[in-house]
Amino acid sequence: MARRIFAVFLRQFYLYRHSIHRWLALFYWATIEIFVWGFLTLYLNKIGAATFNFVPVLLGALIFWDLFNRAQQSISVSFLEDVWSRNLGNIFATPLRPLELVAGLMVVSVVQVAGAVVAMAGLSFLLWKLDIFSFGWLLLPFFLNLFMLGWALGVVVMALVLRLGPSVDIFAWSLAMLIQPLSAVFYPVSVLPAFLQKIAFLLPTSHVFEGMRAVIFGQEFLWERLLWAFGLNAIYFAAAVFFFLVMFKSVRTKGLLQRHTD
Amino acid sequence: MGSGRVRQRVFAAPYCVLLSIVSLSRSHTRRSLWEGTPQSTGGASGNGAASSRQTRLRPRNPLAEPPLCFVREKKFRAREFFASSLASEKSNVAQVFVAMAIMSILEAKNLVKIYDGTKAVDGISFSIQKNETVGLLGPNGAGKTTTIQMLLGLLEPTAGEVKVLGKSLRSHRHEVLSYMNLQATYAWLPGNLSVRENLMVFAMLYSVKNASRRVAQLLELFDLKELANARTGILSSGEGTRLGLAKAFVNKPKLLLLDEPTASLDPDAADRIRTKIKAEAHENGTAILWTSHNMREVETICDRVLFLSHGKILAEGSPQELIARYNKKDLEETFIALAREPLNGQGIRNPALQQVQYGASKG
Repeated sequence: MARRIFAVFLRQFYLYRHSIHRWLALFYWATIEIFVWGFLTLYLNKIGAATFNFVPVLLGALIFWDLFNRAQQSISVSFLEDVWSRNLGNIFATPLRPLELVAGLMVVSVVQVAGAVVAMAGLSFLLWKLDIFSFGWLLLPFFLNLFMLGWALGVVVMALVLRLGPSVDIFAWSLAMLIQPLSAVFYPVSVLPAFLQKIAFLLPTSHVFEGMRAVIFGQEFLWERLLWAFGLNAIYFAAAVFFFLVMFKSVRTKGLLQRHTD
Repeated sequence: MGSGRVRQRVFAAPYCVLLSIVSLSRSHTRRSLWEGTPQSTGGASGNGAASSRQTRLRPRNPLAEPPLCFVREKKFRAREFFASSLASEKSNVAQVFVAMAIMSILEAKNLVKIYDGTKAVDGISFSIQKNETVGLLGPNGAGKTTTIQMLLGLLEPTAGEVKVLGKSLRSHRHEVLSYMNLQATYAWLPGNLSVRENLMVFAMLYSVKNASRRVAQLLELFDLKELANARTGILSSGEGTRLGLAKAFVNKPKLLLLDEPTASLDPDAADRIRTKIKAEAHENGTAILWTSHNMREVETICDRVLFLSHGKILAEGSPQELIARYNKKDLEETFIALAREPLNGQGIRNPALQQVQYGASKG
């Protein structure tokens, strides 16, 4: 099992080893965003008469959101690489189990996200004196939650691509953004209308960002938010994997695997 | 196959020999593994193809009526075997020894695939033995690729069962897939990985021990050493085919499915590829299911041919048998005759084929 999971990782490692434009894609947007949002926070600090430091709130939120977004994209796009290269027939004809494929892509996402986040954090520190690591280990469980939801959405995209074909690859870049307005990334949930707040708290991301803000502001650690996030993520991740397995079976029954790779 | 089953068979061997001697002494061969009588002539059917048959000697379909030593569904018990066989007087030396020697790598039973009410594959059954190369022929849309996809578990059969080395693909999917491999023109390898990298990835996917060494062997074997670091996307057709075959042999498969492996190759390259496939398959004891539209190739390389049309097996036998049966010059003419002959309502082309049809689908 470990070898097969490693094979999935190895396939992506080889791909990135040869591909400068993939490396650029990994860091390009992150760098641009750090610059744009950094200047914005400077401006906001200036007009806010320095009563409130926007840098950790906005730039910190941006980095954490990027972590989540990349965790989702990494899984989806890595899977799409095999769809685009018409390799799915070969892959699924091997003893690789669908869950091993998911596990392998999760490893890929951890490596990719770690690279991107370290780069963003380093740039933020150099340019804007923001040290996200100064918040210590308290943010780590929130990081893990962002990964979990990113993986869940990534697996949903895999299932959709498997079932509907590569024409729906747009979800790989847009699904995470769909929940951003209600995730309270840059503002607290309390600013949302009452009915939207209820919906927002069904998203693990809203709990995560509320909890992270409390840590950044030096307030008490919000265990309740963390537990809600873990609980919801466990349900969503299990549902996503189940959805993928159902789609995999459906595709094998309908003979879509070959059609999508032709 | 589990070691327990092997032990059971070894244990059963003395009983088999004993009962064979008894059977021989009591009766002449009533039922051999070979159906029909040598040198019998057809003609009763009034069909040209049938009347031309000089011999009707052909192997009995082991799936239609499995030899006694080879019943997999029941737990093998030598004593039961001995008693039941002695009572029925249906065994003989040839049957026992051949049955024990026969080791089906693949058994496909009553495979059916229906898409939106259309039967793409209609109840086909066949088996492939160790070291055997079986050609799967048929016109476009006959169901060859659908059959291969079902054998690979890429497509779920509507009905029927696939067993590899006695294990059901449905219940032991991942174990069964580790015994198999595929080379097909529609299953591409990632063009942005190098030749060596692609082989390494698949070696790891098949959990090949000492993967680097195996990859080096395959690069050598399929003349890919100089291309090891070249990107797969820039390979020529011949080079790509060699890489596909190297990948197909990476796990030393017991069953190899080749879907038109030499399509788009020039005759010289195709001949070299065929030689390499046969050599490597022989070394590993690999059974091969080979689809091709090149009838000369099939005549050369296949021990047996299954002719598929409208999802059914219409003819089965060695290339020479089929040519003789249909009184044609070669397999290409036989193919054309079979492909053009209209079907009757039951999907059976002529009375001469009914027997084959029945035998093929009964198992």
